[in-house]
Amino acid sequence: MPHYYFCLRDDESVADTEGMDLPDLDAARDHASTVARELTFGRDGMLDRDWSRWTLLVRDSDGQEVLSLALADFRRGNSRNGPSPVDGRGKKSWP
Amino acid sequence: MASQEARLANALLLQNQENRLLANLAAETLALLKPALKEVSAPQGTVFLEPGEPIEQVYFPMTGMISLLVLTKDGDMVETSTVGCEGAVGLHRGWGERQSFTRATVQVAGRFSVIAGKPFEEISIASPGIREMIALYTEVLWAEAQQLAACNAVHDASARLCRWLLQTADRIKSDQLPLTQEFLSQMLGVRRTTVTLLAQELQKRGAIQYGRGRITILKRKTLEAGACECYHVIQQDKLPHKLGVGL
Repeated sequence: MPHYYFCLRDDESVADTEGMDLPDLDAARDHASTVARELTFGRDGMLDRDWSRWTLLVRDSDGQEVLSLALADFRRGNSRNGPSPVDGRGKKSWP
Repeated sequence: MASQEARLANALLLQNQENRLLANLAAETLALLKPALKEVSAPQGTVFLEPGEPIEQVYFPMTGMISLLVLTKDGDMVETSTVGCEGAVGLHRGWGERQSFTRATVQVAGRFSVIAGKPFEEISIASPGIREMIALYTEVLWAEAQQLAACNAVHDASARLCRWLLQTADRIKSDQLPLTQEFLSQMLGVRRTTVTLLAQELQKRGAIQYGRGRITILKRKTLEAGACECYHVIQQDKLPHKLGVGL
């Protein structure tokens, strides 16, 4: 089964160095899409990052880039700018 | 003289009690339980309770942590609560025969005070102090469940990951968490890749260090800033006070 690696990139990068076995490229795309949704879901945004410019890259075991997803495409109506009904404030600041 | 000795022995019993629910009992009440309590050590992965099965024993963690898991039809397992030395699992057995709603698994190995269901029920019937403990702890757990339901609906994986790491460190009283990322992903209900990318980010910021099967918290403040407010709401030493519950 092919092995795929996932990496987040902007002007710096965060990589999953272990990667994972997936049946084919379609499965890798599905997995990457789910991860992108999980990372962008919610009001606060991952660790207060602005994800709009970030991409999720998928590489095969030879290090070849086989897929690239823009995280901005996965942010769906999270009303990030509206006040949160839970904490009543907007974005958090990261120290 | 004899009663004074008994009082001393009871006081000593309380002093040495590592589980907070037990330590919170009146000395005479704890003395009722003591003969029936036995201490067991359990490794990670031990299943204490299964959904739908009778609660045969009640578990009071002294160290380590128990995870309460809801199993879905698709075979997913999602953590709905964790219980450490501040709580107990299977407590409602004190009100009569009960079935467990969740699976209860040892998530961090530890030592547990265990009492069989029947004697616990008999002692509970005789002891208002124990019935009160069950009721108060239920209130706390119920409040926590409500907070976590809201958390899962609106807070993102990174905030929940930070919250979870802090909450677990509090419950096991250690900044070294013997947990794999695979396991964490199950607990948070997200993909392992998502947890790995988030953990990498946290490591880059110097908040944690992770290796195989172990996550070490290096900077609590960074995690606290990244966690949703739920961490502060459910903190074990604060939640009971918020409810006006003396636990």
